[in-house]
Amino acid sequence: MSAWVLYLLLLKATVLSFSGLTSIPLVHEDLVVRRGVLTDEQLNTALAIGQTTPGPIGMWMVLVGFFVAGLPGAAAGTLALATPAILAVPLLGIVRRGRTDVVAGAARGIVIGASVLTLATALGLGATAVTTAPLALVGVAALGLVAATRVAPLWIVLLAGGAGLLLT
Amino acid sequence: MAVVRLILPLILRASATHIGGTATQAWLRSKLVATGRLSADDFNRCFAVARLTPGTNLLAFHVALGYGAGRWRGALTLLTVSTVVPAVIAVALGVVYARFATAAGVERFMAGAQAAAVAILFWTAARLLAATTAERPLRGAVLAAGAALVVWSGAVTPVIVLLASAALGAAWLRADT
Repeated sequence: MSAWVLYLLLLKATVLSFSGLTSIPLVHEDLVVRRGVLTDEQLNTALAIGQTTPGPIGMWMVLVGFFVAGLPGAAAGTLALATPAILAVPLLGIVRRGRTDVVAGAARGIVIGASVLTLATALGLGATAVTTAPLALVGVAALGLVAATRVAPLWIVLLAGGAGLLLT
Repeated sequence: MAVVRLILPLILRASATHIGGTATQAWLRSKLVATGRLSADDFNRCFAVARLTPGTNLLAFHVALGYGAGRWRGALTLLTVSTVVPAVIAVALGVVYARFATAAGVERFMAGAQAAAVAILFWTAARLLAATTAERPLRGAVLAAGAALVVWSGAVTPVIVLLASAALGAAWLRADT
């Protein structure tokens, strides 16, 4: 797959999402299901490394690009991540004029739709990632930590990696 | 560009050390608003715009912040810094992973890390869904339930689900409806 096509596919996913993780279902659909250029395991790995990388949570997309097409793919992922942010400038003008109700309603709708899609994707990825009882235990412990504490995802992922090393 | 020069080192530091939009924005607020480099209103305006901009909130936040401080030059400077620095770190980690992926220890470490990543993804989506539906509980819940039915039926693609959600949201979830 060329870096240009990859850029357009990843751009489509970022433009149609409103947070770093809600573009996952579109990337999964386009690159894993339809084109077969990325595996579920690679997507999981990109997510795991993305959770330990400084900056926006969406950095997993750079790694998706890297896994699909090497360094040109990583550049495509980086550009796809950055491009929609430019839209903030015209939106700043709209916000200053106080015309945000329709855009805000549409954004709310998209966040709800994208969250449902992400939950479905997480369940699918979970079936690939959690294949043994010890890994299920690690996943449940991570869920408990992220839900009940303020421990940063970085430390949870690193702790889980250590647990994986010991338990599996 | 003088203001951009004041903000740039903070963005650079945040991009290299903080993970995720919320943590970064909270830290930047403490550095910019508390020290008088940016008013609370300007910060809130940039925050709101970032929530409304498609894609990654944090990058849109930096663009809005940069545009306010130095127009297009400021916006593109902050966007470049806040994208390229973490992207280089991510690729470096990806290269290390690709080199050692077959080592038994790395495989076991990544298996545990992936289980946690999926759990965090699940929790993040659930929390985002709960927070967004709470703004308009009944209509939000109806939209979420409808989206869930459509997604699990597999009848339409994710793009259609998102476009339909946007149209319904614009009509149903506006502040004045």
